[in-house]
Amino acid sequence: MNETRTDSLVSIRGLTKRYGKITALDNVNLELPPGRIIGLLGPNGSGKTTLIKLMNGLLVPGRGTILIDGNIPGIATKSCVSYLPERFYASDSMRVEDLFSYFEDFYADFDKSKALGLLEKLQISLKSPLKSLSKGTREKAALVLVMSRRAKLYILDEPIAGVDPAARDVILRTIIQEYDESSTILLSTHLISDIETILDDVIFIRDGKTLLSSSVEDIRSAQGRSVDAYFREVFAC
Amino acid sequence: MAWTLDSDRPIYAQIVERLKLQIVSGNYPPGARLPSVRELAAQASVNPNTMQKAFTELERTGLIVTLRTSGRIVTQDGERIAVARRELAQEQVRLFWEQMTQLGYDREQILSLLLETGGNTHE
Amino acid sequence: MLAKLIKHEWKETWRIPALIFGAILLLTTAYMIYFSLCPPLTDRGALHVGNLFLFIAFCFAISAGDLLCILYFGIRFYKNLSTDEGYLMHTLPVSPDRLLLSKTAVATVWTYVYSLLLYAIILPVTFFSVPRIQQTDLSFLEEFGEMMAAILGGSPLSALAFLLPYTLAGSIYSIVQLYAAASLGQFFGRHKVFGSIVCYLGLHTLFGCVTSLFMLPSMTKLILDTSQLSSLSSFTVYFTGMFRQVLFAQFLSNLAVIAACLFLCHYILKKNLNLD
Repeated sequence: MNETRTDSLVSIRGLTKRYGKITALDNVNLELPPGRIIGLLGPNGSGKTTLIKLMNGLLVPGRGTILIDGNIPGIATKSCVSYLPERFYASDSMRVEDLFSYFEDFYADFDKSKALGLLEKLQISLKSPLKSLSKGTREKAALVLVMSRRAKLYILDEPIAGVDPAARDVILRTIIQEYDESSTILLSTHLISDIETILDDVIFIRDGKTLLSSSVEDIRSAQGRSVDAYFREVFAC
Repeated sequence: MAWTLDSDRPIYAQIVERLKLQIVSGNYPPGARLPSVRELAAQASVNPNTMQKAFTELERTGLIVTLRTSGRIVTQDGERIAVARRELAQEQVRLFWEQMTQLGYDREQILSLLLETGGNTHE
Repeated sequence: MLAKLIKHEWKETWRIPALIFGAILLLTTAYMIYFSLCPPLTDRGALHVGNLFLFIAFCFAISAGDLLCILYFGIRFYKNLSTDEGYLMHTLPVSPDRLLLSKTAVATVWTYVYSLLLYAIILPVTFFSVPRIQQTDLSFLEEFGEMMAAILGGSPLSALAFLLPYTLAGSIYSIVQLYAAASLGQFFGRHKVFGSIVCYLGLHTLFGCVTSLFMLPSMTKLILDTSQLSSLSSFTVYFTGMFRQVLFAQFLSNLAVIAACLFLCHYILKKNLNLD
């Protein structure tokens, strides 16, 4: 993941974002290649979500550029990025089928039968009001829809935070099983030990700066310990 | 359930060990079809690239064979499986020996203890 | 994509306005039944105070329904685009102007139909109620009707031709004012709801001034000219003519405000989106 790559799926240069006097992202440079599962790791408030929101066009950047598949965030990138936000985004009255029909209507890369199969497998009824589901089930329902798109980039913001271990297993399994091999997954979390076995690469982020961007195997062999242990040392927590 | 893996050691080596054990113990009998990389990766909750690497290693040692049409199967070469079994057994013995030595037993003591307890458990 | 957005917007919003519609129709029916059971007043000149209050309360209630409906769409716009729901809406592969258009279209249809319904209810209800409040000669209502027709263009058809677009502009005007306020609320950091409300009050005052300015020339002319008039009949002609100009000026100013609000919303959604 060095800067001279030209086959990057995502290319971020000099990205800076401030909220008033607080600097949420400070001159971030990143290149994400295609076909990788990448962990975006950092403590709460480190800038993970800000970076992800910028990539999805939910914030306007202060300085710097983001290119996803050659485009700045906009209609073109939204068509090829499948995003699972940290917040749950459906309105109170929505049922699973309502959210489903949004995906069906707006994303050309949405695989309807795949999504239906997965929902059935996970025993989530289309008729359930989303409000009535447990957090884990809601997360699973949204993940099924997100992973049923044949996207170039999947951005999953804290997909396993606050769900029980059984739901977490299902979520990780669904991610591994369903993503398109030529696409990249960017997965943010502060719970590294739970997901480090599924990662190819990691990006450490703290105080809006990227500290490290490396392959997981490199860290394990260079440090002789888990990424989680290394992370704890780097962030001293 | 996700496989219990120790994240301090290379993941792929642990997967190789685990698959070897399953083949030797007959969990995947000779000639049996193995699940796809993706399926097994999902089952184990590991990166598909890592699982692929483990498969490549097992193929290199001849324990599994890739067929042109129908995916991967366990080798039908009984000899090869026997060799793998022996390798695993030797590794267990080596570890056992190492730990017993650490406990302060010498060769004679270990052997006699082994005969004693081994005899008992067989009863 | 616009059609799909409108479809979803409709699907998610029809319940509340439909409920208000239903309530209004129910209320009107109950009101009419009560008044038709009331015996006509025999005592000439006496005022039936109870019925008068009932009539006023009824007028308030159905106007409140209109306000509720508009307010509902304002809140919906804010919630759907500026809170967690915005995570879905703003990551759909559609441009901000489509989002804005779809929301304006659906809200306009409801409020417009609502306004027309109000016309259709208020006039007959008034005709029906007045004799049961005070026994009077209804001819003044006819005169009033004639004057309105004169103001609005003479024949019922031309009155309608003016009233329909005029009301439509009024509906859109109320809606987009709220939308603009909700969009401006984006700039208020942690106090977006409060900011939106302040902005609404500010915009409302500002647009009131704009409308007055638009109306000023014809109003002035109206006042200046009437002083030079001698006979009453020419007064009516003049008055209606001028009043038409005033309404027309208001119509134009509404259109101008609509354009400004839509531009503002679009600019903020496109260039200054900052979801929490």
